[in-house]
Amino acid sequence: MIFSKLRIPDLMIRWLDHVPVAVMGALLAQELLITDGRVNPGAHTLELIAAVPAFLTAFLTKSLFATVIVGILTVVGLRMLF
Amino acid sequence: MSTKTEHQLAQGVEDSLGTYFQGFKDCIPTLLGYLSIGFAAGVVERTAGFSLLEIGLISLLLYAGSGQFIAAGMLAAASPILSIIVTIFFVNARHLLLSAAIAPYFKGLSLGKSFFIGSLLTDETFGVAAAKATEQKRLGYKWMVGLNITAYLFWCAANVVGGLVGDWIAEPEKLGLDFALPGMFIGLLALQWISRKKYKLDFMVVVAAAVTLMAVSTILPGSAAVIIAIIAAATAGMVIERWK
Repeated sequence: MIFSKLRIPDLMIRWLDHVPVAVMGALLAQELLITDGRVNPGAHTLELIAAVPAFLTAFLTKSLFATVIVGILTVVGLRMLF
Repeated sequence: MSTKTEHQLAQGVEDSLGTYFQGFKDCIPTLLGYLSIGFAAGVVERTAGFSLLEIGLISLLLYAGSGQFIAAGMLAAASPILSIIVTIFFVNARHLLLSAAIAPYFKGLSLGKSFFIGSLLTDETFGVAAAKATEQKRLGYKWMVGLNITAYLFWCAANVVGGLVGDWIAEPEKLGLDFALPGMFIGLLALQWISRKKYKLDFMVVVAAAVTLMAVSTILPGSAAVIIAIIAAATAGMVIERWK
């Protein structure tokens, strides 16, 4: 609303353009690499493995729903095995 | 007299741009997405200790998929309110760009009407509006309101249903529901990746975010580390793009 009347500085647009990817990267890293405020990927080994089929599903189907489902099912399967 | 005819003319143009009902119909293809993510959000919120009323309120007042996942996760981790607000502000900063991108199609609307459209805009309703905007020079206010309100109410309903079902799930970890949040981030990241087609650059931004997060996490609390990682990674992306 306000920005439609103002001109956003070019540099700001370029910066904002990278924010969504940066946000998702940071949040995902926090979920999968950090435990109780410490860097500890070992505590999330199964989740890190499950991230691979989830990513593949996202790229193949472009569906948020399918991605979440495949990720969840992989985690459940891995937890039953290990 | 002339103002009246002008007004009638404007009304006719507005009606030709679509009714509330047409907006509702154009929203339907996106509803499955709201259902699945809203349902998952409701389950996560319930397991984070929200009451059904709180779930209904957060989906109406915050109305942000990733924002609500983050709020639930950070509240469960007892993060300070200010860091939750700042994190969600950054997560949803893209709305500045979305609103700015469709604003030209609503030129001349009153401030109140613009505010009403902008505040209920989502990624999905933006997507539907942007697709429509390739066919016509202007978008109708009523059409956009129909589109936005349909998504808004459906989202709230899906959240509450998720909350109801969440009650029945005693151990969400057994069902892998704790992976709904990282799974959603994976999906959102991959979708960005595919549509932006800046594969190498975006990959470097993700790596920058992860590395900064790990480094900062050793000295600052998680929520502050996330914000610093976002700022550092977006800046890195901008610098790399300029430098090339």
